[in-house]
Amino acid sequence: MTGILVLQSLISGLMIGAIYGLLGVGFSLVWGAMKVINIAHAAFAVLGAYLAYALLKMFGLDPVLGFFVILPFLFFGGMVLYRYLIFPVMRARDIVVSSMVLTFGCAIIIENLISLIGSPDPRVFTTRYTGKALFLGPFAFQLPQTVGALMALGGMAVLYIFLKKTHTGKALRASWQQPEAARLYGINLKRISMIAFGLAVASAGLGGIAMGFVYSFDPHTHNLWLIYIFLVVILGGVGNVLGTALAGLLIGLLNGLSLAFFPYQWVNVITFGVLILILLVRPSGLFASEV
Amino acid sequence: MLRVSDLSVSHGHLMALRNLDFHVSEGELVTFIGSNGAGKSTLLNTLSGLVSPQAGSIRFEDREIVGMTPEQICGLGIIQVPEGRKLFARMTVLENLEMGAYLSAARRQFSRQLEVVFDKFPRLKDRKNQIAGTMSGGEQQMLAIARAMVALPKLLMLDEPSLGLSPLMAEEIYEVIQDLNGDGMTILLVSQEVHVALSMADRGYVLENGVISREGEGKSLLEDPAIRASYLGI
Repeated sequence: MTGILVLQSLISGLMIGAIYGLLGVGFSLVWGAMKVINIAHAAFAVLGAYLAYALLKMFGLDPVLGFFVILPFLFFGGMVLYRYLIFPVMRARDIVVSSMVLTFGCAIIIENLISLIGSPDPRVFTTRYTGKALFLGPFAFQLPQTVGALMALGGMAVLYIFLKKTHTGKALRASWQQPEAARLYGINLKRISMIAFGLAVASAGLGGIAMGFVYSFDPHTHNLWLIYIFLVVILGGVGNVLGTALAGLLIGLLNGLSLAFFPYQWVNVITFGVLILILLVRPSGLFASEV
Repeated sequence: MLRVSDLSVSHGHLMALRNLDFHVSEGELVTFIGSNGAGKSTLLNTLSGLVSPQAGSIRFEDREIVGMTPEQICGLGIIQVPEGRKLFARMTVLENLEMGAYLSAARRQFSRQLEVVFDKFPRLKDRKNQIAGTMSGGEQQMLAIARAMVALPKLLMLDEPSLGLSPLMAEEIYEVIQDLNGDGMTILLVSQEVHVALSMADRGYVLENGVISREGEGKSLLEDPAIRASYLGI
């Protein structure tokens, strides 16, 4: 019996881990490729969740479908943000710090806009499948959580295939590995970075919606999500898509494992404790940084 | 084909290139020789549009290209093989070639050009799925040249193509360059290997501290006592 319980919480941990992974991937790419630490990344995730919530409340649109409505807005919003806010500071001497300060401001603005237009109360998605579960043998999978995990896995797969297989995706990787040569062969760095930033913001939105299936969210939630995003990315290797995805799953697993054996209030202590241990042994994370 | 007049480039307050006048005609192999820091790479990067000149004009096929973006210049067919190769090191050989043919005109002819390139460098064909950074220096230089060839060059500019290669490998690379020129490719070669460069070039220019100090036919520059003394140690 306990064995099944442990397995059950491991599986549920993995599901949440997939969502951490998706939230981390876009953040990791922008950090690795442009040296921009986008503090507003998690705020975009919360924004995505709120927009999906609004569509659900107003039109009864399922958040999974809602994402496809929100997607173009997040993508173009991200491109515009890069073009008019991030790009002008790219020439700063210390782009990492400048971008952090700038995007921290963006995060606060997004948080307050959500509070202002919506309200600061916590929200949950209530859909047709809320409270339902899928029974497979001795295991029960909560349906909303399963939907969130599938969205996250799908999002990561799409990003991975985009980077590996499409002409534009390859050009993105080329321009991160060797910007000067990329320019010599006709790749427009500004345009390609805009696309990358748009994709990162869109993936954050998807991650936020997926999170909304598992946890409640309010305008401040992005602060907590951001800490997890940092963890996933540092563990997975900055700019390393596959590593970040795996690190997300690992952290989820760790979460699930500690939940199975320890009281709830110890979960974060144990998760972060193990992570500190890992980083003491491997200070640069489990996987190499790359793009 | 290429006519540069009165070209000056500065890095901040430092003048990197001063009042350069030169030309490259169709089908020629022209070389710029000079020591480290003479401004050779700056010259190629200016021609490629990565660096903008302070003054002067660069005309390519009767079109002024000063002020054009690197993207536009690449589209015109001025293609550079940069110093140190600058491959996309964590991508495969094939992906590197695909990125050479990034612009749509080159992309349309990619499969045909790929055959031409694989014909010239059969070793690249065998290794098309290998990660570029894991190949030997010579193979990487071949890939760098191949990447430029799929970009449909009219003027191929090479910056120190033998840098860091074994003498044997360097010889092979220079043979490839001569071969390309024999097929009709116009080439601008920048090199510190004065003897090799001058013996294969139709014409040469000597760049010293950002100024063209001598010019002439490759063979006659080789005979020039001043060049023999300062560059060939004879």
